[in-house]
Amino acid sequence: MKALRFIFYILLVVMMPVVFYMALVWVPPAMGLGDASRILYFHVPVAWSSVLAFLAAGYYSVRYLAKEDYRYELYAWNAAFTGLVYSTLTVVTGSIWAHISWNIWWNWDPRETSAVILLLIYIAYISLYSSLKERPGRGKISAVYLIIAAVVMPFLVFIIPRIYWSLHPDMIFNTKNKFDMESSMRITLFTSMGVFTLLYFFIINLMNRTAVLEKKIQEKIHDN
Amino acid sequence: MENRIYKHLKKDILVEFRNRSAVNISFAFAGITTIAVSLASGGIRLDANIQSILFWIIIFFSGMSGLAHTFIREEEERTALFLAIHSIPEEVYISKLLFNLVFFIFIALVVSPLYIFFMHAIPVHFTHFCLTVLFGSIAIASVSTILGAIVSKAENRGTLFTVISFPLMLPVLWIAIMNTTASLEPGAAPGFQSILFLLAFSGVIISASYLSFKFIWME
Amino acid sequence: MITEVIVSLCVIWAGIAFLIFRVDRRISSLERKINE
Repeated sequence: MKALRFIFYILLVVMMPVVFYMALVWVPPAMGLGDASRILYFHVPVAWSSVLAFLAAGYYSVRYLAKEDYRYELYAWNAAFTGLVYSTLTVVTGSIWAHISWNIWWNWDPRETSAVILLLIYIAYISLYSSLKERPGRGKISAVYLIIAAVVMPFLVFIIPRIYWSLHPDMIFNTKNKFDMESSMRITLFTSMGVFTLLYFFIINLMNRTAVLEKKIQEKIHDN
Repeated sequence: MENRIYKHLKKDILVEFRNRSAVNISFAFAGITTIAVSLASGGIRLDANIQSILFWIIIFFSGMSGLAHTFIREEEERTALFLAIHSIPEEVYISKLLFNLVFFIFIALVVSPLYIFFMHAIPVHFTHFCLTVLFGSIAIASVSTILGAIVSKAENRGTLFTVISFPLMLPVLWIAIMNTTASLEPGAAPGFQSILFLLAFSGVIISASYLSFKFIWME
Repeated sequence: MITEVIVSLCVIWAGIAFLIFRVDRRISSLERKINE
Protein backbone atom coordinates (compact mmCIF):
# COMPACT_ATOMS: atom_id res chain seq x y z
CA MET A 1 0.00 0.00 0.00
CA LYS A 2 2.77 2.33 0.96
CA ALA A 3 4.74 1.47 -2.17
CA LEU A 4 1.67 2.03 -4.29
CA ARG A 5 1.16 5.46 -2.79
CA PHE A 6 4.82 6.27 -3.38
CA ILE A 7 4.50 5.32 -7.07
CA PHE A 8 1.37 7.44 -7.26
CA TYR A 9 3.13 10.51 -5.88
CA ILE A 10 6.16 10.01 -8.11
CA LEU A 11 3.91 9.73 -11.16
CA LEU A 12 2.05 12.85 -10.19
CA VAL A 13 5.13 14.92 -9.39
CA VAL A 14 7.19 13.79 -12.37
CA MET A 15 4.49 13.66 -14.97
CA MET A 16 2.90 17.04 -14.30
CA PRO A 17 5.94 19.03 -15.50
CA VAL A 18 6.30 16.57 -18.38
CA VAL A 19 2.74 17.34 -19.42
CA PHE A 20 3.49 21.05 -19.26
CA TYR A 21 6.55 20.58 -21.41
CA MET A 22 4.73 18.40 -23.91
CA ALA A 23 1.73 20.69 -24.20
CA LEU A 24 3.56 24.01 -24.29
CA VAL A 25 6.76 23.16 -26.17
CA TRP A 26 6.89 19.72 -27.72
CA VAL A 27 3.59 19.54 -29.57
CA PRO A 28 3.29 21.46 -32.85
CA PRO A 29 0.42 23.95 -32.93
CA ALA A 30 -2.72 22.73 -34.66
CA MET A 31 -3.38 23.83 -38.19
CA GLY A 32 -5.23 27.11 -38.47
CA LEU A 33 -5.45 27.70 -34.76
CA GLY A 34 -1.90 28.55 -33.86
CA ASP A 35 -0.59 28.37 -30.33
CA ALA A 36 -4.07 28.82 -28.90
CA SER A 37 -4.76 25.16 -29.62
CA ARG A 38 -2.56 24.36 -26.65
CA ILE A 39 -5.47 25.19 -24.36
CA LEU A 40 -6.94 21.88 -25.50
CA TYR A 41 -4.39 19.88 -23.51
CA PHE A 42 -5.58 21.47 -20.28
CA HIS A 43 -9.21 22.10 -21.06
CA VAL A 44 -10.14 18.55 -22.06
CA PRO A 45 -8.56 16.91 -18.98
CA VAL A 46 -10.35 19.36 -16.70
CA ALA A 47 -13.65 18.59 -18.42
CA TRP A 48 -12.88 14.91 -18.11
CA SER A 49 -12.24 15.38 -14.37
CA SER A 50 -15.60 17.05 -13.93
CA VAL A 51 -17.30 14.05 -15.54
CA LEU A 52 -15.20 11.82 -13.31
CA ALA A 53 -16.46 13.77 -10.30
CA PHE A 54 -20.01 13.15 -11.48
CA LEU A 55 -19.36 9.41 -11.75
CA ALA A 56 -17.69 9.39 -8.33
CA ALA A 57 -20.60 11.24 -6.75
CA GLY A 58 -23.09 8.78 -8.28
CA TYR A 59 -21.02 5.81 -7.15
CA TYR A 60 -20.72 7.07 -3.58
CA SER A 61 -24.44 7.81 -3.49
CA VAL A 62 -25.32 4.28 -4.50
CA ARG A 63 -22.91 2.95 -1.91
CA TYR A 64 -24.47 5.18 0.71
CA LEU A 65 -28.00 4.02 -0.02
CA ALA A 66 -26.86 0.40 0.03
CA LYS A 67 -24.72 0.54 3.14
CA GLU A 68 -25.63 3.64 5.14
CA ASP A 69 -22.04 4.23 6.12
CA TYR A 70 -21.82 7.90 7.11
CA ARG A 71 -18.52 8.20 5.27
CA TYR A 72 -20.11 7.78 1.84
CA GLU A 73 -22.35 10.74 2.47
CA LEU A 74 -19.30 12.93 3.03
CA TYR A 75 -17.54 11.39 0.04
CA ALA A 76 -20.47 12.11 -2.25
CA TRP A 77 -20.55 15.72 -1.09
CA ASN A 78 -16.82 16.10 -1.68
CA ALA A 79 -17.10 14.61 -5.14
CA ALA A 80 -19.90 17.03 -5.98
CA PHE A 81 -17.90 19.98 -4.64
CA THR A 82 -14.82 19.12 -6.68
CA GLY A 83 -17.14 18.63 -9.62
CA LEU A 84 -18.53 22.10 -9.11
CA VAL A 85 -15.04 23.63 -9.17
CA TYR A 86 -13.89 21.54 -12.12
CA SER A 87 -16.94 22.23 -14.24
CA THR A 88 -16.59 25.96 -13.56
CA LEU A 89 -13.01 25.71 -14.80
CA THR A 90 -14.20 23.77 -17.83
CA VAL A 91 -16.74 26.42 -18.71
CA VAL A 92 -14.24 29.29 -18.27
CA THR A 93 -11.42 27.72 -20.27
CA GLY A 94 -13.89 26.48 -22.85
CA SER A 95 -15.23 29.95 -23.40
CA ILE A 96 -11.70 31.33 -23.76
CA TRP A 97 -11.07 28.74 -26.42
CA ALA A 98 -14.39 29.44 -28.12
CA HIS A 99 -13.48 33.10 -28.25
CA ILE A 100 -10.28 32.31 -30.08
CA SER A 101 -11.58 29.78 -32.56
CA TRP A 102 -15.13 31.01 -33.20
CA ASN A 103 -14.69 34.62 -32.15
CA ILE A 104 -17.62 34.35 -29.77
CA TRP A 105 -17.56 33.73 -26.04
CA TRP A 106 -20.59 31.53 -25.92
CA ASN A 107 -22.70 29.78 -28.55
CA TRP A 108 -24.35 26.79 -26.87
CA ASP A 109 -22.22 24.22 -28.56
CA PRO A 110 -23.22 20.72 -27.30
CA ARG A 111 -20.09 20.36 -25.23
CA GLU A 112 -20.61 23.77 -23.69
CA THR A 113 -24.20 22.89 -22.94
CA SER A 114 -23.39 19.63 -21.25
CA ALA A 115 -20.68 21.32 -19.15
CA VAL A 116 -23.14 24.01 -18.05
CA ILE A 117 -25.74 21.41 -17.17
CA LEU A 118 -23.22 19.51 -15.09
CA LEU A 119 -22.43 22.79 -13.34
CA LEU A 120 -26.12 23.44 -12.68
CA ILE A 121 -26.62 19.94 -11.31
CA TYR A 122 -23.73 20.43 -8.88
CA ILE A 123 -25.09 23.79 -7.78
CA ALA A 124 -28.54 22.24 -7.31
CA TYR A 125 -27.09 19.36 -5.31
CA ILE A 126 -25.11 21.63 -3.02
CA SER A 127 -28.04 23.96 -2.40
CA LEU A 128 -30.30 20.97 -1.74
CA TYR A 129 -27.78 19.55 0.70
CA SER A 130 -27.37 22.82 2.54
CA SER A 131 -31.12 23.38 2.85
CA LEU A 132 -31.56 19.91 4.37
CA LYS A 133 -29.58 20.98 7.41
CA GLU A 134 -30.48 19.25 10.68
CA ARG A 135 -32.53 16.59 8.90
CA PRO A 136 -31.61 12.99 9.70
CA GLY A 137 -32.29 11.86 6.15
CA ARG A 138 -30.05 14.45 4.57
CA GLY A 139 -27.56 12.06 3.03
CA LYS A 140 -30.18 9.72 1.63
CA ILE A 141 -32.34 12.41 0.09
CA SER A 142 -29.45 14.12 -1.63
CA ALA A 143 -28.10 10.75 -2.73
CA VAL A 144 -31.40 10.05 -4.46
CA TYR A 145 -31.12 13.41 -6.21
CA LEU A 146 -27.67 12.53 -7.53
CA ILE A 147 -28.91 9.16 -8.77
CA ILE A 148 -31.81 10.77 -10.62
CA ALA A 149 -29.37 13.26 -12.13
CA ALA A 150 -27.10 10.41 -13.19
CA VAL A 151 -30.06 8.79 -14.92
CA VAL A 152 -30.81 11.99 -16.83
CA MET A 153 -27.24 12.68 -17.87
CA PRO A 154 -26.94 10.10 -20.71
CA PHE A 155 -30.01 11.59 -22.35
CA LEU A 156 -28.33 14.97 -22.39
CA VAL A 157 -25.04 13.66 -23.63
CA PHE A 158 -26.46 11.48 -26.39
CA ILE A 159 -29.34 13.60 -27.52
CA ILE A 160 -27.88 17.10 -27.56
CA PRO A 161 -25.48 16.46 -30.47
CA ARG A 162 -28.48 15.37 -32.52
CA ILE A 163 -30.29 18.60 -31.82
CA TYR A 164 -27.13 20.51 -32.48
CA TRP A 165 -26.61 19.18 -35.99
CA SER A 166 -30.07 20.08 -37.01
CA LEU A 167 -29.62 23.63 -35.78
CA HIS A 168 -26.08 24.51 -36.86
CA PRO A 169 -25.12 22.22 -39.69
CA ASP A 170 -22.33 24.56 -40.83
CA MET A 171 -20.19 24.34 -37.72
CA ILE A 172 -18.23 21.15 -38.08
CA PHE A 173 -15.28 22.27 -36.06
CA ASN A 174 -15.61 19.57 -33.42
CA THR A 175 -15.56 16.46 -35.53
CA LYS A 176 -12.94 17.81 -37.86
CA ASN A 177 -10.59 18.57 -35.04
CA LYS A 178 -11.13 15.15 -33.57
CA PHE A 179 -10.32 13.15 -36.64
CA ASP A 180 -7.45 15.23 -37.94
CA MET A 181 -5.46 14.98 -34.76
CA GLU A 182 -1.81 14.10 -35.22
CA SER A 183 -0.32 11.30 -33.19
CA SER A 184 1.87 13.67 -31.16
CA MET A 185 -1.20 15.66 -30.23
CA ARG A 186 -3.06 12.54 -29.25
CA ILE A 187 -0.20 11.33 -27.07
CA THR A 188 -0.02 14.68 -25.31
CA LEU A 189 -3.76 14.79 -24.77
CA PHE A 190 -3.92 11.31 -23.29
CA THR A 191 -0.91 11.84 -21.04
CA SER A 192 -2.43 15.04 -19.80
CA MET A 193 -5.76 13.35 -19.15
CA GLY A 194 -4.01 10.60 -17.21
CA VAL A 195 -2.09 13.03 -15.05
CA PHE A 196 -5.14 15.15 -14.38
CA THR A 197 -7.03 12.00 -13.37
CA LEU A 198 -4.25 11.25 -10.88
CA LEU A 199 -4.45 14.81 -9.62
CA TYR A 200 -8.21 14.49 -9.24
CA PHE A 201 -7.90 11.32 -7.20
CA PHE A 202 -5.20 12.96 -5.09
CA ILE A 203 -7.45 15.92 -4.26
CA ILE A 204 -10.59 13.89 -3.61
CA ASN A 205 -8.64 11.51 -1.40
CA LEU A 206 -7.28 14.45 0.60
CA MET A 207 -10.74 15.93 1.00
CA ASN A 208 -12.34 12.63 1.97
CA ARG A 209 -9.77 11.91 4.65
CA THR A 210 -10.11 15.38 6.12
CA ALA A 211 -13.89 15.14 6.15
CA VAL A 212 -13.87 11.79 7.95
CA LEU A 213 -11.37 13.10 10.50
CA GLU A 214 -13.47 16.19 11.05
CA LYS A 215 -16.59 14.09 11.68
CA LYS A 216 -14.76 11.80 14.08
CA ILE A 217 -13.30 14.66 16.08
CA GLN A 218 -16.67 16.37 16.26
CA GLU A 219 -18.23 13.21 17.65
CA LYS A 220 -15.45 12.94 20.24
CA ILE A 221 -16.00 16.52 21.38
CA HIS A 222 -19.69 15.79 21.57
CA ASP A 223 -19.14 12.75 23.75
CA ASN A 224 -16.97 14.52 26.30
CA MET B 1 -52.49 -2.89 -4.27
CA GLU B 2 -54.35 -1.31 -7.20
CA ASN B 3 -57.30 -0.76 -4.96
CA ARG B 4 -55.21 1.08 -2.40
CA ILE B 5 -53.54 3.17 -5.06
CA TYR B 6 -56.95 4.10 -6.34
CA LYS B 7 -58.03 5.12 -2.83
CA HIS B 8 -54.92 7.26 -2.36
CA LEU B 9 -55.50 8.93 -5.68
CA LYS B 10 -59.12 9.61 -4.91
CA LYS B 11 -58.18 11.07 -1.54
CA ASP B 12 -55.55 13.32 -3.13
CA ILE B 13 -57.94 14.62 -5.75
CA LEU B 14 -60.65 15.24 -3.18
CA VAL B 15 -58.33 17.05 -0.80
CA GLU B 16 -56.83 19.21 -3.52
CA PHE B 17 -60.14 20.19 -5.02
CA ARG B 18 -61.82 20.84 -1.70
CA ASN B 19 -58.97 22.99 -0.61
CA ARG B 20 -59.06 24.69 -3.99
CA SER B 21 -56.35 27.24 -3.41
CA ALA B 22 -53.45 25.25 -4.90
CA VAL B 23 -55.26 23.99 -7.96
CA ASN B 24 -56.95 27.28 -8.59
CA ILE B 25 -53.74 29.21 -8.22
CA SER B 26 -51.97 26.95 -10.71
CA PHE B 27 -54.71 27.26 -13.29
CA ALA B 28 -54.96 31.00 -12.76
CA PHE B 29 -51.19 31.30 -13.06
CA ALA B 30 -51.20 29.40 -16.34
CA GLY B 31 -54.00 31.51 -17.77
CA ILE B 32 -52.60 34.81 -16.58
CA THR B 33 -49.08 34.24 -17.88
CA THR B 34 -50.46 33.25 -21.27
CA ILE B 35 -52.54 36.39 -21.46
CA ALA B 36 -49.68 38.52 -20.13
CA VAL B 37 -47.30 37.21 -22.78
CA SER B 38 -49.86 37.79 -25.48
CA LEU B 39 -50.60 41.28 -24.23
CA ALA B 40 -46.92 42.20 -23.97
CA SER B 41 -46.21 41.02 -27.49
CA GLY B 42 -49.05 43.33 -28.54
CA GLY B 43 -50.51 41.17 -31.25
CA ILE B 44 -47.28 40.90 -33.24
CA ARG B 45 -47.02 37.59 -35.02
CA LEU B 46 -43.92 35.97 -33.60
CA ASP B 47 -41.72 33.36 -35.23
CA ALA B 48 -42.60 29.72 -34.66
CA ASN B 49 -39.36 29.36 -32.77
CA ILE B 50 -40.10 32.15 -30.31
CA GLN B 51 -43.67 31.02 -29.92
CA SER B 52 -42.72 27.52 -28.90
CA ILE B 53 -40.10 28.84 -26.47
CA LEU B 54 -42.68 31.07 -24.79
CA PHE B 55 -45.21 28.23 -24.76
CA TRP B 56 -42.91 25.84 -22.95
CA ILE B 57 -41.70 28.46 -20.54
CA ILE B 58 -45.30 29.13 -19.54
CA ILE B 59 -45.93 25.40 -19.14
CA PHE B 60 -42.72 24.94 -17.15
CA PHE B 61 -43.48 27.68 -14.65
CA SER B 62 -47.14 26.71 -14.27
CA GLY B 63 -45.95 23.24 -13.43
CA MET B 64 -43.39 24.59 -10.97
CA SER B 65 -46.10 26.32 -8.99
CA GLY B 66 -48.27 23.24 -8.63
CA LEU B 67 -46.42 19.99 -9.10
CA ALA B 68 -44.41 19.83 -5.91
CA HIS B 69 -47.53 20.60 -3.95
CA THR B 70 -48.80 17.03 -3.45
CA PHE B 71 -45.85 16.14 -1.26
CA ILE B 72 -45.44 19.52 0.34
CA ARG B 73 -49.06 19.40 1.47
CA GLU B 74 -48.44 16.12 3.28
CA GLU B 75 -45.56 17.70 5.13
CA GLU B 76 -47.31 20.95 5.92
CA GLU B 77 -50.47 19.33 7.20
CA ARG B 78 -48.39 16.80 9.10
CA THR B 79 -50.07 13.84 7.44
CA ALA B 80 -46.82 12.52 5.96
CA LEU B 81 -45.95 10.47 9.02
CA PHE B 82 -49.37 8.87 9.10
CA LEU B 83 -49.15 8.05 5.43
CA ALA B 84 -45.68 6.58 5.89
CA ILE B 85 -46.86 4.28 8.67
CA HIS B 86 -50.09 3.39 7.00
CA SER B 87 -49.00 2.43 3.49
CA ILE B 88 -46.01 1.09 1.62
CA PRO B 89 -43.88 3.69 -0.19
CA GLU B 90 -44.42 2.31 -3.69
CA GLU B 91 -48.15 2.80 -3.37
CA VAL B 92 -47.68 6.36 -2.27
CA TYR B 93 -45.31 7.03 -5.12
CA ILE B 94 -47.58 5.61 -7.80
CA SER B 95 -50.65 7.40 -6.55
CA LYS B 96 -48.82 10.72 -6.35
CA LEU B 97 -47.37 10.18 -9.80
CA LEU B 98 -50.82 9.52 -11.23
CA PHE B 99 -52.18 12.59 -9.50
CA ASN B 100 -49.41 14.75 -10.91
CA LEU B 101 -49.90 13.34 -14.40
CA VAL B 102 -53.61 14.10 -14.35
CA PHE B 103 -53.02 17.54 -12.89
CA PHE B 104 -50.35 18.49 -15.36
CA ILE B 105 -52.23 17.24 -18.37
CA PHE B 106 -55.11 19.42 -17.19
CA ILE B 107 -52.76 22.40 -17.01
CA ALA B 108 -51.55 21.69 -20.53
CA LEU B 109 -55.16 21.42 -21.65
CA VAL B 110 -55.85 24.84 -20.19
CA VAL B 111 -52.72 26.51 -21.52
CA SER B 112 -52.63 25.16 -25.09
CA PRO B 113 -56.04 26.38 -26.34
CA LEU B 114 -55.55 29.73 -24.63
CA TYR B 115 -52.13 30.05 -26.17
CA ILE B 116 -53.30 29.04 -29.63
CA PHE B 117 -56.18 31.49 -29.34
CA PHE B 118 -54.32 34.51 -28.03
CA MET B 119 -51.02 34.11 -29.85
CA HIS B 120 -52.39 33.05 -33.23
CA ALA B 121 -50.10 30.04 -33.07
CA ILE B 122 -52.06 27.62 -35.19
CA PRO B 123 -50.20 24.33 -35.41
CA VAL B 124 -49.79 23.07 -38.96
CA HIS B 125 -49.18 19.48 -37.89
CA PHE B 126 -51.92 19.22 -35.33
CA THR B 127 -51.48 15.59 -34.18
CA HIS B 128 -47.81 16.15 -33.76
CA PHE B 129 -48.41 19.24 -31.65
CA CYS B 130 -50.88 17.38 -29.43
CA LEU B 131 -48.57 14.40 -28.96
CA THR B 132 -45.65 16.69 -28.08
CA VAL B 133 -47.70 18.53 -25.49
CA LEU B 134 -49.03 15.29 -24.05
CA PHE B 135 -45.73 13.45 -23.78
CA GLY B 136 -43.81 16.56 -22.76
CA SER B 137 -46.28 17.02 -19.92
CA ILE B 138 -45.91 13.39 -18.90
CA ALA B 139 -42.12 13.73 -18.85
CA ILE B 140 -42.22 16.94 -16.80
CA ALA B 141 -44.73 15.47 -14.36
CA SER B 142 -42.67 12.33 -13.84
CA VAL B 143 -39.48 14.28 -13.12
CA SER B 144 -41.20 16.65 -10.77
CA THR B 145 -42.93 13.95 -8.74
CA ILE B 146 -39.69 12.57 -7.37
CA LEU B 147 -38.16 16.03 -7.06
CA GLY B 148 -41.27 17.21 -5.21
CA ALA B 149 -40.80 14.37 -2.76
CA ILE B 150 -37.17 15.41 -2.30
CA VAL B 151 -37.96 19.07 -1.89
CA SER B 152 -40.81 18.52 0.57
CA LYS B 153 -38.21 17.44 3.12
CA ALA B 154 -36.17 20.63 2.77
CA GLU B 155 -36.48 24.29 3.63
CA ASN B 156 -37.27 27.15 1.18
CA ARG B 157 -39.22 24.70 -0.92
CA GLY B 158 -40.51 26.92 -3.70
CA THR B 159 -37.23 28.36 -4.84
CA LEU B 160 -35.29 25.18 -4.20
CA PHE B 161 -37.68 23.22 -6.39
CA THR B 162 -37.01 25.46 -9.36
CA VAL B 163 -33.26 25.25 -8.79
CA ILE B 164 -33.09 21.46 -8.56
CA SER B 165 -35.60 20.67 -11.25
CA PHE B 166 -34.34 22.95 -13.99
CA PRO B 167 -31.18 21.04 -14.98
CA LEU B 168 -33.04 17.73 -15.02
CA MET B 169 -35.93 19.06 -17.07
CA LEU B 170 -33.76 20.78 -19.61
CA PRO B 171 -33.56 17.83 -22.03
CA VAL B 172 -37.35 17.55 -22.00
CA LEU B 173 -37.85 21.26 -22.57
CA TRP B 174 -35.26 21.26 -25.31
CA ILE B 175 -36.82 18.44 -27.28
CA ALA B 176 -40.33 19.73 -26.69
CA ILE B 177 -39.42 23.22 -27.89
CA MET B 178 -37.76 21.85 -31.01
CA ASN B 179 -40.71 19.65 -31.75
CA THR B 180 -43.30 22.35 -31.19
CA THR B 181 -41.42 24.65 -33.51
CA ALA B 182 -41.46 21.98 -36.17
CA SER B 183 -45.16 21.41 -35.72
CA LEU B 184 -45.95 25.14 -35.98
CA GLU B 185 -44.07 25.62 -39.23
CA PRO B 186 -45.41 24.57 -42.60
CA GLY B 187 -43.31 21.94 -44.27
CA ALA B 188 -42.66 18.25 -43.99
CA ALA B 189 -44.19 16.58 -40.96
CA PRO B 190 -41.57 16.04 -38.25
CA GLY B 191 -40.60 12.50 -37.31
CA PHE B 192 -41.72 10.63 -34.25
CA GLN B 193 -38.26 9.93 -32.78
CA SER B 194 -38.43 12.90 -30.44
CA ILE B 195 -41.78 11.79 -29.09
CA LEU B 196 -40.25 8.40 -28.52
CA PHE B 197 -37.42 10.17 -26.72
CA LEU B 198 -39.86 11.90 -24.38
CA LEU B 199 -41.56 8.59 -23.68
CA ALA B 200 -38.26 6.81 -23.00
CA PHE B 201 -37.16 9.66 -20.75
CA SER B 202 -40.29 9.44 -18.61
CA GLY B 203 -40.01 5.66 -18.47
CA VAL B 204 -36.44 5.78 -17.22
CA ILE B 205 -37.18 8.49 -14.67
CA ILE B 206 -40.27 6.69 -13.38
CA SER B 207 -38.44 3.41 -12.91
CA ALA B 208 -35.45 5.06 -11.21
CA SER B 209 -37.70 6.97 -8.85
CA TYR B 210 -39.88 3.92 -8.18
CA LEU B 211 -36.77 2.15 -6.94
CA SER B 212 -35.33 5.00 -4.90
CA PHE B 213 -38.52 6.52 -3.53
CA LYS B 214 -38.48 4.55 -0.29
CA PHE B 215 -35.18 6.09 0.72
CA ILE B 216 -36.72 9.56 0.71
CA TRP B 217 -40.07 8.62 2.09
CA MET B 218 -39.01 6.60 5.10
CA GLU B 219 -37.09 9.43 6.73
CA MET C 1 -2.31 33.77 -28.92
CA ILE C 2 -0.14 32.24 -26.22
CA THR C 3 -1.55 34.79 -23.75
CA GLU C 4 -4.91 33.04 -23.73
CA VAL C 5 -3.22 29.72 -23.05
CA ILE C 6 -1.44 31.20 -20.07
CA VAL C 7 -4.62 32.87 -18.82
CA SER C 8 -6.53 29.62 -18.95
CA LEU C 9 -3.70 27.78 -17.23
CA CYS C 10 -3.80 30.39 -14.47
CA VAL C 11 -7.55 29.89 -14.15
CA ILE C 12 -7.18 26.11 -13.89
CA TRP C 13 -4.46 26.30 -11.30
CA ALA C 14 -6.37 28.88 -9.30
CA GLY C 15 -9.29 26.45 -9.13
CA ILE C 16 -7.12 23.55 -8.06
CA ALA C 17 -5.31 25.72 -5.53
CA PHE C 18 -8.70 26.75 -4.15
CA LEU C 19 -9.54 23.10 -3.49
CA ILE C 20 -6.21 22.48 -1.81
CA PHE C 21 -6.44 25.63 0.30
CA ARG C 22 -9.86 24.52 1.44
CA VAL C 23 -8.41 21.26 2.70
CA ASP C 24 -5.63 23.23 4.37
CA ARG C 25 -8.12 25.47 6.16
CA ARG C 26 -10.10 22.50 7.40
CA ILE C 27 -6.97 20.80 8.67
CA SER C 28 -5.93 23.89 10.60
CA SER C 29 -9.36 24.11 12.20
CA LEU C 30 -8.98 20.47 13.17
CA GLU C 31 -5.63 21.24 14.75
CA ARG C 32 -7.21 24.02 16.77
CA LYS C 33 -9.92 21.65 17.97
CA ILE C 34 -7.41 19.00 19.00
CA ASN C 35 -5.31 21.49 20.92
CA GLU C 36 -8.25 22.74 22.93
